This record gives sequence, C-alpha cells and structure tokens, in this order.
Amino acid sequence: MLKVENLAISFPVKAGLFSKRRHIKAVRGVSLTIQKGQIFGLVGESGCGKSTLAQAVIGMQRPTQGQVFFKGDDLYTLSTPAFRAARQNMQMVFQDPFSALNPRFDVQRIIAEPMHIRGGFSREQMEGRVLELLNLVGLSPEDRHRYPSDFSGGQRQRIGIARAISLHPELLILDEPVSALDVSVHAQIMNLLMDLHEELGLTYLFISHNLADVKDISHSVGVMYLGSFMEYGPTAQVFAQPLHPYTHSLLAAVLTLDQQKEPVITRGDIPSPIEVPPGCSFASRCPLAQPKCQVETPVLLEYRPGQLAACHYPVI
Amino acid sequence: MSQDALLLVEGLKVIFPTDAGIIKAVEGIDLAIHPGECLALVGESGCGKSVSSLAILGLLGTPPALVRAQTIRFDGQNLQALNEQQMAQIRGKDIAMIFQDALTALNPVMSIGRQLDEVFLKHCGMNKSQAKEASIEALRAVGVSSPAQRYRQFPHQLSGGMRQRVLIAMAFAASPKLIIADEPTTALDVTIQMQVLEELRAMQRKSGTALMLITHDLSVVNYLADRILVMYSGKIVETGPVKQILKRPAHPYTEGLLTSVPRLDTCNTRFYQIPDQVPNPMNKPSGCHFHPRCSHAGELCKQTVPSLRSLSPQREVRCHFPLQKGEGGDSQHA
Amino acid sequence: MRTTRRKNNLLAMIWHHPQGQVGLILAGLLVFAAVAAPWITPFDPYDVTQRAEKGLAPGWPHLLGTSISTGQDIFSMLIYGARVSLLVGIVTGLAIAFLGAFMGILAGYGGRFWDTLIMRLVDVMLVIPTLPLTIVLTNLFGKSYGMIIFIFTIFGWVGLARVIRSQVLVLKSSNYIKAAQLAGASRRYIMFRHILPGVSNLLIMSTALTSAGIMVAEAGLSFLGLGDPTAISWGKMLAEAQSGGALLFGHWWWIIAPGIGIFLSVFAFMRIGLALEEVFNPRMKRSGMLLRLFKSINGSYIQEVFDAMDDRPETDEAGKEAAP
Repeated sequence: MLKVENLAISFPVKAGLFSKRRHIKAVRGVSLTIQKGQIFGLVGESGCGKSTLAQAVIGMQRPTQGQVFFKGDDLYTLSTPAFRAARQNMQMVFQDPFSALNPRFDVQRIIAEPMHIRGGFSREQMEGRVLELLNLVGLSPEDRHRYPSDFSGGQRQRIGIARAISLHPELLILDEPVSALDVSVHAQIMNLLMDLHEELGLTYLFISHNLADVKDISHSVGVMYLGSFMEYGPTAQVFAQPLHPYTHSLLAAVLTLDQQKEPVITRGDIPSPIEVPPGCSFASRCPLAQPKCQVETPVLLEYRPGQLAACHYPVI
Repeated sequence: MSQDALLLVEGLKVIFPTDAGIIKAVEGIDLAIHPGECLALVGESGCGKSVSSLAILGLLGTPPALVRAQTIRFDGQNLQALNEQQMAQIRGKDIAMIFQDALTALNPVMSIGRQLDEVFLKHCGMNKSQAKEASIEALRAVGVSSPAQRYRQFPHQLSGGMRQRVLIAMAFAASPKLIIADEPTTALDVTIQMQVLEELRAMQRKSGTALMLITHDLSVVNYLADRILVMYSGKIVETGPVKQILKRPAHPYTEGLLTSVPRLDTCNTRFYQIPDQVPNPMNKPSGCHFHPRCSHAGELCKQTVPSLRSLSPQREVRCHFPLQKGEGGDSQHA
Repeated sequence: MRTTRRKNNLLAMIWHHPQGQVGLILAGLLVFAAVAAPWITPFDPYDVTQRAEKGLAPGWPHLLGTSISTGQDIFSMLIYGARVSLLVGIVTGLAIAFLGAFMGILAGYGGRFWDTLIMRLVDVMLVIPTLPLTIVLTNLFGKSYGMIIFIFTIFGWVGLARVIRSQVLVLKSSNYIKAAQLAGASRRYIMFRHILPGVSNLLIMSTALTSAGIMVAEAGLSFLGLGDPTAISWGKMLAEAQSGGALLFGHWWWIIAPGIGIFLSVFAFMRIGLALEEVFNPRMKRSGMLLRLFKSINGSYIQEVFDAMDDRPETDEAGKEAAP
C-alpha cells in the first residue's frame, strides 16, 4: 500500500551574511513499508521528524531525496489529476482537535467538505453519508447542525475522524490523534479507531509518542530518533525484546503504576537536527556507546528475522 | 490531622456566573497539606483542580469568579483576610507555583538568569552579585548543563525540558514552604519527563518543601506523591495514601481511571473505557455526579449526593457503594 | 450550505451590547439626518434666496443662529454637513475594507511572490507623506470629495492589509485547511471558503473603526480647504467660522455645532466598532459588563447555590441539587 524509500527531507535555515548555510535535517534516510490492512506505528519523541515524515507521505512536503510510493505510484511524479486522486484516497487525522475543524462551519459542512470538494455528489447523497458517518463514529444525528465549539475534545476528534473517512480512503494517517485528550476519552477514541479499522478494512499509519498506545494498536512499529529509524519490526517482538538501546531507554522511561519498578533515567538532551553529530545519533546519550559509535553511522540490519536495528552493539 | 497542616482548606467553593448559566467549578472541597508532604490533586480537565489552586492563591478575580471558603489557612495565617499586596508577598516567597507551559510562564524578553535573580533579589534580600551566584548554583542544582552560559540565554533558546527545569529552579529559589505544580511535565517527552521528575523529587525531598501536584497522569502521581485527592466534576471523590488507592481504589471513577491507562506490561485488544463524557459544569446530573457513567450505580445514586465518608483513618470516599470497605476489606456489592 | 450563523444575529448582538446600542442609535440618527436633510431642515442653505440676516444668535426660527459671513442657517448647515461626513467616512471605509482585504489575503496566501511584492509596496506607501501629496493632487485634479475618497483609499488600505495578512498567516496553519487541501481543494476554494470568512470578523470591525477615523481626517482636509468648495461639510464650517470671526465676536455656537457633529459621528462608529470587537471576542468582555452581570444576580440565589453544595448529614432524605 505505502512504501517509502530512502526518504530525506532537509530545510534550509536562514543564515546570516557571514555564517555558513545550514540545514535542518528533519528526516534522514527513512524507508518503510505498510501492507494493506496493516497498522504501522511510528514512535518517537519531539523533533525526531515523525510529523515531517507524515507531511511527506500525504504529499504536502516534497522530499529532498527519496520517493514515496502509494499503491505502486511514485507520488511526487504523478500528474496533477492523478496526484489529486491519490491524495483523496489517503486522509489524515490531526493531533489538535481544536484547530482541525473550522469553527465557522457546522458539523454537516465539515464532514461533507471532502465530498463537496471532490464533487459529483448530490445533496441527498452527502447528507445521507454524513448521517452514516456520524453513526459510525458514535455521534447523534442532531449533532450535524451544531458547531465545533459545542463539543468536547474527544467529540471533535470523532468529527475529524468522520471527515477523514468520508471519501472511503484506503490509507489513514493519524498524527498523534489521542495525545491531546483526557484519559477516559483517550481510551474511547482508541477503541473507535480499532473498530473502524476492522469494520472498514483500513490501513493506518499511526504516529505517537505514547508507547502503550502504539503497542496495543499497531502490527509493526518503527522507532525514530533524530530523523532516522533506530529500530523497526513487528510490534510484539520489538516491545518484548528490543534490540536498540534507545528503544530500551524509551520503554524504561515510561512511568508505570507498578510500585516496585523505578524508571531508568536517560541523561542528556536530544541533539539539534541542525547539528547532527557524526556516527550514531544516539551515541551521546547511549549507555552502551563505544568509540566506534561516534565515528561510523550504523545501518539498519536484520539482527532477528523481521526485526531491524541501526546499532553497532544491539542488545541481543 | 488538620492541626499541624501547613495549608488547610475547608469548604472551598467556586462558581462562574455567565449569561448562559452558573458554572459550578468547585463544589466544596477540603484539603490539607503537611510540611514536606507531596499531595496530588488528580482529575481530568474540567474537574476543577486548577481552579482550586488558583482560588487558594487568590488569583481568581471577582468577576468572573465567586469564591467562598470556610477556611483557607496557610502557616497559621488566614489567607482570605489578606489584601492583594500581602498575598503577593506570600506568593513567590512562601508559596511558589510551577505552571504547565514554561514558554508562557517565562518572560520571553528577559534572560533566564535575570528572571531567576529577581526571585532572589525580591524575596531573599540579596544584592545583585549574590543573586547571580545563587542563580547559577540553582541552575546547577536542577541539572542544567553549563549553568553559567545558560544564565545569559533567553527562554526560546532553551529546550522544553530546560525551561521546565528553570521554572523548578525559580520555584525552589526562595525556599518556599509550599510549591504548587500544575501539570509540570505533561508537555514533555518521555525521557525528558523522567529527568525533570527526578529533579523535582530530589529537590523536594532535600529541601523538605511541601508539594501540591495537580495532574491527570496517575503514573506521575505514583512516582512523586504521598497522598492523593481524586476530583470529579467539582467534588472530591476519594482521598488517601497513594499506594493504597492505586492498588485498591474505592471509588468507581478512580478504578475507571486506573484501568483506562494504557499499560505497557499488559496486552489489550481493547482499551477499557469509561463511557460518555465528563458532565457539563452548568448542568450536572442529579445525585452523585458520576452515576450516569458508573457501572456500579444504584437507584440511590441518582437521587442523593453521597457525602464524603471515612473508610479508614487515612482514607475517605464519596460513594454510596464504594468498592472497598476500609483497610484490607473486600469489595462491597451494590 | 450555510456557513455562518453569526451574520444573522450580528445586528441583534450589537444591539444587545450596551455600548453598541448607543452607537447604533446615534449612527442611525445621523444617517437619517443625512438622508432626510432636504425635508427636515427649516432652510435650504444652498438656496441663496433663503439667506437671512447675518450673524444672528441662536433663537427662533434659526435654532443655531446664522453665519456671520453669509447669513446661512447654521442648524441647516449642520444637518447637511452630515451628508459629507457619513458619505466619505462610510464609502472610504468600505473601499479600504475591500482593497485591504484583497491585498492582505493575496499577500498571506498567494505565495512568496505576491507576499514580497505587496509587503514592499506597503513599506513604500507608509513612507509617503500623505498631506502634501493630497494638496498636490487636489490642486491638479480638482477639489472634490471623490478625490478625497480616492486618496484616502489609496493610502488607507495599507494598515488593514498588514493586519489581515497576519491573520491569514495564522489561519493558514490551521489543520482544517490542511484537511481541505488533502481532499483536493483548489487555492481559490480555500481562499473564498475558509480564509475570507476567517478574516470577516476582523474586516467588519476594522471597517467601523476606520470609518470613524476617516471622518476626522475628512473634517481636517475640508478645514484646510481641500474638499469640494461648493459642498457644505463640517470641516468647512469650522474653517468659515474661523475666518468669519466667530471667535472674535463670541459666536461660539457656530464653532461648537460642527465640532459636536464630528464628535458624535466618530463616537457612534467607534462604539459600534468596539461593540463588534467584544462580540467577536467574548473573552475580552470588559469588566464593566461583567460587573453589571454580577450586580444583577440575586445575592440570595447565589447563597442558595453555594449552600446546595454542602454535604448533607446522613439522615437527611432529600438531597437533590438545586437546578440552575
């Protein structure tokens, strides 16, 4: 369904008259594949480039290098009408429920907008579909005349989801869809997403910094750090037996309700994407780092069947 | 128990009259914090926890709010009797606050060093050079790397974790007796959050400052707090020691919160969810506010508001059919 | 499909706002006066045959006396003067709104090229001295209010364009726009369906406030003699009063009348503008309104609300919450 090959995206930084031209290397050599019907979890902390990657996948950010293949076609080389058609087949659910909906539109208009833009639907068709979608996401038919400000964060997210699936897309990209929500609503929306996935046979690219969410919803996972994958593989395996020290530190840093366990602290700050250190980008904070790590950049290698890690000294 | 409390609040009520109706934000809560203790005020958005802290500190203006309280006593002083000037004196010196978003809490046009200095200059009676020394030392104490250089930097030049650490340094600077932290690490990444929380815990234990932690994240509560107060829709529904409550919650809402937290160590095919939404603060359900969402609710719950009852010397719960019967007891049946 | 619900109640909302109400009433009166001038004035100041004795003090039938220089009825002149002020003010306000919005949206959303071009233009125009240029242009092309409207518009759109552009930039980053783009929306669709409604609040508000400012500016220009010499305007009345010796002879009514006229019209439109601002940003409700709301609440009712929050003793049967 979706294949990303060697994607790299750099943004130039405005330089002064006398300083050298510098770049923010947001994404550095990322490749991933998502099969139809699968859920791929993209995990990483802020600044790792996951949002930029998402933008590239939906066609809003032309990559500096590499390609994005959607259903076999190279997205950025398509003709304009084909490009439009491809993008209508993939939709996005955003993180912030408050900026994702136009406060001036009523719910009916918001959900029907993609249909309206695409054209070719009669009024009755659109209205019928809106009712259908409202039902699917757990809202009531009366809600379609209300405005976003009448709804809570979780409900707005439902509206956003309804809008996203209105055109029957095959691929859904979810950029931190539950991060801004309260705990109880968080669970509701996650359940909704899982239900929809089953009922509609969708494919998801699920982006989050919350490991537990990713663990429970995705089939495969990719752990990003500073623009490239540190680890990649089937979720169950990666979480049960992580290879990369960064994955280890992420898992260990998560606070649990378990009284016994003391979380492990990873020292240091995340380096800036402008000044990417040579060698392994995690070396500066890695408890297992060796001299080699700061010189030679590790490549993603398959240390176990299906599971890849970019590390010279993975934890086997 | 309330005798030696550092902060004692009894019967705090806050409402916001609007054109559309009256928002009942806080409906009579009691809380007590003892010196050196860490108390967590837990609840989801809209439950009134942030409003409560603002009301205690006298930071809610009238209008738009109307605040009533039987007692708000800090360190023996009745805070309600003080005027704005006197309150301002206490805020910053004896009670400090750490807000969620460091970027908006810090002055963007002042270097962080100067902002730290201000605390020392104003509340500790130091002169400029003494303050500078103290500031650099404070930065070092919270784990800011190269503090002398950071001293001169501006908030936007620092990462989120750094800024939060600066806020913590500012809060501890004047050696306050109480620090109120409102969602101090919610906006931070996982690994950074751990670092910051560790600093916070270390500093709190070392200086013996009391900490009132306001959050919705139960795992942070587990890490930092001694006692917990669970709030729902303006009322306190459960209180008690953290370890006990997290292991054996008495109120169905607390139980719901605990089970809906996604866990790494368990595998869910579905997440447990508390049905429906938090009640509209203008139009609350009759009787127990939680009854429409409660799986243990009975007829009584619809009609009568349960009172806060003691389960044990250390625990209280507001429920007609609590899940616990006191220390080491079995669950009760509805 | 309906996109906004606000426009329908906009007038009602301003009406309910105490300051807005004042503004609307005043503005309404002024417009009425301007439109109905020929019918409601006792004399026609343009009619030479209706001149009376010069320099009369207020009395009957000349409520505000007559001018020293020509013997025209001052009251009638006052009413007729409203025509110019309101016409220039409102028309210019609207013209600036159109031009400013167009440029602002184009700059904010049309791409780097337009943005740079328009912003450079803005920078240049801000530097040009407007008054000397106005004098030159009116001397070249004739003194008329059409000219004045034109000049005001040419210089006035700049500030608005800047503000609108910032707003557009903010809106541009909204996710709902991204969602629309993803669905395949064209640039034009987004500009008209999302961006334009998004800045409409700002536009309406600034039109009201701009009009107020223009009215003052127009009075100033007319005072300097740059307006149409044949038309009666408040600014011109002030000029005539000064040259005709109103101060010298103590005919204060001649000076105050147009002054009040200018003041009232500006006041009316500013009130409307400010009311709009508060209507659009409910969070900016001034404490005055809130205090009024607070005072109007029944104190004992509030006490009831508070009391209802207390825990009842165990034995109590009734425990229902007091409904709002």
